[in-house]
Amino acid sequence: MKLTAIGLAGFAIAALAMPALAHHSFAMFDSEKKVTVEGTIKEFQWTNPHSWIVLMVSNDQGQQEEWAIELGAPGALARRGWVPKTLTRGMKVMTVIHPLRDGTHGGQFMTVTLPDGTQMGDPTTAPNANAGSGAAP
Amino acid sequence: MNDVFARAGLALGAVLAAASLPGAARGADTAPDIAGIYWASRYDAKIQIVGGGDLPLTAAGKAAYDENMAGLKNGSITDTARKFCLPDGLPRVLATPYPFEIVQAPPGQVTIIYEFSHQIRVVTMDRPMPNDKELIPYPFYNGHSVGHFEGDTLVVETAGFNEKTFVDATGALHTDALRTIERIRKVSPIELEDVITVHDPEYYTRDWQARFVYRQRNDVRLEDYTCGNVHRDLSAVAGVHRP
Repeated sequence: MKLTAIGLAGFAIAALAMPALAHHSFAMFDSEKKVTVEGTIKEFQWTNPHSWIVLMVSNDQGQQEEWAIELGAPGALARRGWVPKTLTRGMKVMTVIHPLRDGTHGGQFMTVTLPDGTQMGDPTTAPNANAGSGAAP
Repeated sequence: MNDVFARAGLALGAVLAAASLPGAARGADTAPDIAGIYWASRYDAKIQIVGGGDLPLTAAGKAAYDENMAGLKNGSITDTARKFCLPDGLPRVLATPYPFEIVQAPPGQVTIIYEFSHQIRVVTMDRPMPNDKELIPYPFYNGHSVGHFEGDTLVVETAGFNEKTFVDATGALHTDALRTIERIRKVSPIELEDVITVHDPEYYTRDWQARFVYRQRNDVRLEDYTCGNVHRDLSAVAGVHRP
């Protein structure tokens, strides 16, 4: 029996979803929608169980709003090449997120584009919410 | 023939005698005893570097220090170690005017317990320092410490710091690339010395040392420390200013 690529992907997503639900519900994010949010980094919190990007965004009236974007745990991010200083205060970035369903200023991280054009995160894979937090060395 | 045996016997005797002297090569069960409660008798808000003078700052280090001092002065930057009793970091914790305790336990570990802000430093004695990849996800306030004994000295290497701590109470800074080496030993029956070497090339033009000396005070017992409250009488510690 030959497993197709789509079949394998479906299996992979199902396998990832199980541990994710065990940690916390991602129903709070609208996984059907992708929203682009541009702003200036106020803070990048490299912490367990989830890292956070705190972003200052100008709204339509030109006022600054604070957005909170949730990422995975530092262990998972580090395996994808992130370090604590990948994002620093003052950086102007563009992020793509699954927005919060209730419309408040936040969402689940999908990708970020750095000032030099580097993109972190993959917009085509399903969001991996598994914190993957292992024991500290 | 007799002469050879006599000389061999003398040599064997010398080796056995040397092995029993303090400072000779030791196995894990003959590590020096540095356990006890220690308390500094002086406090310096500004870290005193060996050889005197100012911190050997790079341009980036000076800019960061100046910005931090200005922020602390105008209130835009908070000394979280003092306001929220977050860990001091290294080398700042070594300047503590409160007592601390060195416990040579459990096996494979030396544990340093600070009364101030309930800080605990775990020094792993039986595993090497994790590599940079292993440290990156876990930037600790007081870093990750590994140690070994060299004769009468406990040598502690620390890396994997975050950037949230100051070098001293004036607000001197370090980066997360900071690496330190401490050489800790008794210098008299009642005194312990910790000489720390600070390595942080982005902010400092060279490695530099600071030396801390503590009195052994096994008559003292570590007390509670609850953030924001007044604690033990520090009037015996020179250099402590209470508002």
